Amino acid sequence: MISIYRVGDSRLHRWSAGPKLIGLLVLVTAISVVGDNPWFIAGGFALAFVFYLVAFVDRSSGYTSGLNEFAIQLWKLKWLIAVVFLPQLFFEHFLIALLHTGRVLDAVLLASVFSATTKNADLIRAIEKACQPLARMGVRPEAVSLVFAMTVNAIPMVIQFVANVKEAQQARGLNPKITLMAVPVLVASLKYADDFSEALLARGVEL
Amino acid sequence: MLIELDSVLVAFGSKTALDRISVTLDQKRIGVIGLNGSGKSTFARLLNGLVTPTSGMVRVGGIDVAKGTKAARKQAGFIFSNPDLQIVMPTVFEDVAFSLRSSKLSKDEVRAKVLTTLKRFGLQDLVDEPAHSLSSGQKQLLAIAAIVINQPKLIIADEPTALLDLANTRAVAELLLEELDQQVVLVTHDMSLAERCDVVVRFDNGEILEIGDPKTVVAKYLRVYA
Repeated sequence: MISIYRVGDSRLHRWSAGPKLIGLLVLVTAISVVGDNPWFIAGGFALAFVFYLVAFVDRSSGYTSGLNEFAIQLWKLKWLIAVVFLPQLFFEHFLIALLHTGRVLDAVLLASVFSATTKNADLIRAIEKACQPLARMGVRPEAVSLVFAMTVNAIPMVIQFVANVKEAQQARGLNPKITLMAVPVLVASLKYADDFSEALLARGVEL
Repeated sequence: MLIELDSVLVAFGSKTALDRISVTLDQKRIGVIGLNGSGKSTFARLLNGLVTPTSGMVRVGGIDVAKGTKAARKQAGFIFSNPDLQIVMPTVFEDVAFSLRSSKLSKDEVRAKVLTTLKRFGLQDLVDEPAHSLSSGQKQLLAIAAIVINQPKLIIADEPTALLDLANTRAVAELLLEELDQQVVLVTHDMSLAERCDVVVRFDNGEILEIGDPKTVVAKYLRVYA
């Protein structure tokens, strides 16, 4: 679901991380604020689609590559869509639930194309730069950007914990369920956080 | 570089991890062996300030580690057995460059230095790869590269080959025991690696049981437990 940077030379890749991040924030905020307007949500979806086409344009296959990537991303998001959409049906009208889900989907699609076309190092520098004015209030920009980098970095680790726990439970003849997996994944994550903080200290990082 | 421990006691609650040990070491390759829980990892962590002695003094290169932890960490890099823990940044390049964050080098200088280091460790083709997608061996080489780029005088490696296959163990061992110019403290359960050190320290139950010629110390250890 969360894309990582994909090497490329598209127009989106060439845009600076700072303005791109601001653009993303503005778009996602706008979609959230004007989220009850179906045209706006459809527009957000169309924009994400166009961004995918542009970001993954390929000399040999043209825009087909972007089309494929967009389809793959949508398929990956099927569970998120289900989790967001289905429970709402109990409380909201079908169309309202659809609008809310569309809003979340737009935001995730836009964020994923952003992260696929922005190097983490550039993004971290942009965040650090954006936080500079906050330094007067005692905020340490380098600490903010480091926390962001570590968060990005922790995602594959947590995914790995989930895979390990799932495999271990299957090996014991259990049918892995969220309720069975939550505690071991949480314990593994906390242990990782503990060990990782020690490794950070060893590398001379003190937040 | 001189490593000095003077009557060092480390206790975690009621459990004594190291019991008033005193030792002076200056050999280039120092092997540390012992059973699990014998105190060897606590000893290694003391040298980098990851563990603070309950009493006694630890000096590395003349620096009192408890008082000058920052300076001590600058001169002593630490390698963990699980390389996943040491990866701070998302890509290979960024992770090694992260080690130079407090240097005054320009962006181009950082790039050149990182690329040279990655080439030295055979990771030059993985520059933009997500660090977590590497194999365990490559991750460990990356972890060592991220330490070595800062040119520490001492490298402390706590079971660096524990999670590696034979080929990667050989690659990491060659690097630590033969190729690096730095002094190395190698905590290991692999006796073939311990035997290649200049000196071996054997821990047992929080105490140093023996220090000396690697082959002799290892042979005695194996006679007891093998």
